[in-house]
Amino acid sequence: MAEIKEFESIYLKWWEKVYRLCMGYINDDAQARDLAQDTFVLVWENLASFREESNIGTWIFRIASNRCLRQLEYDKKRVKGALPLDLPNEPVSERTSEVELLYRWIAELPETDRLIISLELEEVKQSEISKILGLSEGNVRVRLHRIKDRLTQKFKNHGFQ
Amino acid sequence: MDFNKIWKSQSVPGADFQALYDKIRGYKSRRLRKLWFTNIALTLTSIFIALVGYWSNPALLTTWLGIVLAIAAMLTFLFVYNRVFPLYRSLDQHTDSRMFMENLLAVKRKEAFLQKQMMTVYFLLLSGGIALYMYEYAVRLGWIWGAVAYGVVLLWMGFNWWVLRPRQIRKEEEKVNSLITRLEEVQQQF
Repeated sequence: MAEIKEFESIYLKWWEKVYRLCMGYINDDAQARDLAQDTFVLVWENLASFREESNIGTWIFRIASNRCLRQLEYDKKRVKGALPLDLPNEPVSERTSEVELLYRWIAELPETDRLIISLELEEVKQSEISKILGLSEGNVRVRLHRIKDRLTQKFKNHGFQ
Repeated sequence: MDFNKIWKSQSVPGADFQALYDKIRGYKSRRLRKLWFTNIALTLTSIFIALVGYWSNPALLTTWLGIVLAIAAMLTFLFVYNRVFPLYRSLDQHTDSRMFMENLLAVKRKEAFLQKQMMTVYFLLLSGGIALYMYEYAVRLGWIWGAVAYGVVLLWMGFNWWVLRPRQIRKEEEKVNSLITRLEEVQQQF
């Protein structure tokens, strides 16, 4: 019973963050919900083996990131994020909101970059991001800088300041 | 641009306990159902083949050997199939993503190898089993009709070996290789 209560409080606390991470990766509401729910199924299954050697956030984000990457197995065709980044920018309707554009452009990045920027935007420390993904801190820092530059450029190209 | 502010303004669906618990309940059973179904179906087929042997009470050892080889083919399939399943279960879900991708790739490569080997052994055992099983009945048919029966079966086996088997292996390989290539591409991003 205590375990269920613990799990439910974890679920409530982390649901939004995990959903947004999955949304950043897949940019599709239904699939993001599915990925996020799958993440919590795995959290439930592995909760007993969580040994507090890392903080719970790092642990949950690892499971979520790995679940997102595992999606490669189920995508028959290349996902939209696999498109080359230098494709000419398509015209964007005025009604398209900043948030839609941000998620769309993140989903166009290579898979690992999508995870890096999504974790950064969830305010996960760079040292934690490096532990979640298995990259060096220097690598995370350099890639984040590059990704933010790209995104800023994209917004500028579409008339945003 | 304040990306953090834009990022957080994404509307998020509420946490859905009902959907989550439904998923948790269905999760294990879904994974296990297919495994059980394949095991039961092939075990029943093997029992059926053994019973056919028992009821028809063959006089020659070759017929019995044929039955044994056919059952061995089924068991080979099950052996490999049951070895692939735990590979996925052993994937550590909460290791870092670079390690996770390495492990996933290793599992995929092992699965591809096992499947290819298994297909070859399965066809060899089953073909050998059928050829031995029918010897007793072909002899009873007489020289000419026996040769015709063997001719037809050998043609069918040849078709299986040179057309169906490579096609099946190619199809499986294409599927798994394109996935392995995709996984390797992502792994190189790390």
